[in-house]
Amino acid sequence: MRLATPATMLALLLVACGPAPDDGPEPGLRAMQAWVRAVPPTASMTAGYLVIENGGPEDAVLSGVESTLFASVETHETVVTNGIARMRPRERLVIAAGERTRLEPGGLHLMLMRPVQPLPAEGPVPLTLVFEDGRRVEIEAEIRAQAPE
Amino acid sequence: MSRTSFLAAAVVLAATAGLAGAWFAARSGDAAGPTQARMLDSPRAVPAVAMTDHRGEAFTPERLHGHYSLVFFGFTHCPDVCPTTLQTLAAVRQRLDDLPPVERPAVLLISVDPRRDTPEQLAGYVPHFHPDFTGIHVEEAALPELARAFGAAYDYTPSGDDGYAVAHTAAVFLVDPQGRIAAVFTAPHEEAGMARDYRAILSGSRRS
Repeated sequence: MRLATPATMLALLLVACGPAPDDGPEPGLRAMQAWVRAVPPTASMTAGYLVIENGGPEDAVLSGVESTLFASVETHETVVTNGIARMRPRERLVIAAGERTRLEPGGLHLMLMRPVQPLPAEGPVPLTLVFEDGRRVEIEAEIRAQAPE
Repeated sequence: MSRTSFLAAAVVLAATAGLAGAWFAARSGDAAGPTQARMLDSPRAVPAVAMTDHRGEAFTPERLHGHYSLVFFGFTHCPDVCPTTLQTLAAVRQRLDDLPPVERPAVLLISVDPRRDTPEQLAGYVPHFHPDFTGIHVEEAALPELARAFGAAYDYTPSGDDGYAVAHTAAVFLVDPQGRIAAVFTAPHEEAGMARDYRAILSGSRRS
């Protein structure tokens, strides 16, 4: 039997190193630290926060978010001007090549609307990030009362 | 004067100055006073407009008397700013748990969205953040006068899925035990600093 050549061994090694759980199969794009704010069962909406990392060579554009637990998800940005807080929809959120974009309280956030059932105080919220070029990244957000330390 | 005597005198002078400084600082109580709160030069009375709390009971300005209150203008169909601020206020309130009950601040959410935020809607939302928090429903016609007294602003813009979005002042206001708007905490709000400022304001009022 012929021994594997160094090239073949290298190829096998690369294939064996699969993506981390948060990645999905999309090279360069990673979602992490995702959490959803716990709200009273009567609430019609809540906010989601996470970090999106684009390790790829080109800009990535987040054009939509889906969740099995909410009928509709939009991306917004809280902007405080002259002391007044306002939300601006961000239909296209550009994550530049090599950059991390952070969605956090008081800033960029996901607006998760019309829960399919009352949101529990804890548990996972599956999210799918949809990018303009067709790439999709799945992540499970954690329901929490407040931001992780 | 010899060099030694000069040095001795300088040391004594420095020590005396140091002691005097410490004595003055101790007398003035908490160090610098509020750092995040802006005290109003002339506290303003909260006007008597038609208000109802989340239990459906009338809320008159008299209910603000006898204790401090932290007041925030927001609404329940608000995913980010309002829950974040209420969460911060809950943390501030918890930090002040060591104070006697009458010295702890009441916390009020005044809704700038009276159409959707009925007392029932507020009852299902506000106590979630802290059982002692109170939601306030103001009649739509009375809201402008109340907001103006606080120096708070709000407006409505149409928004696809939800009907309309509400923009609103992000500041937290402090009402004093005489029912007057006495200070403003501008955003962003930081719980440790707010609690510290509250204690400083409280000490200030104890001495007067």
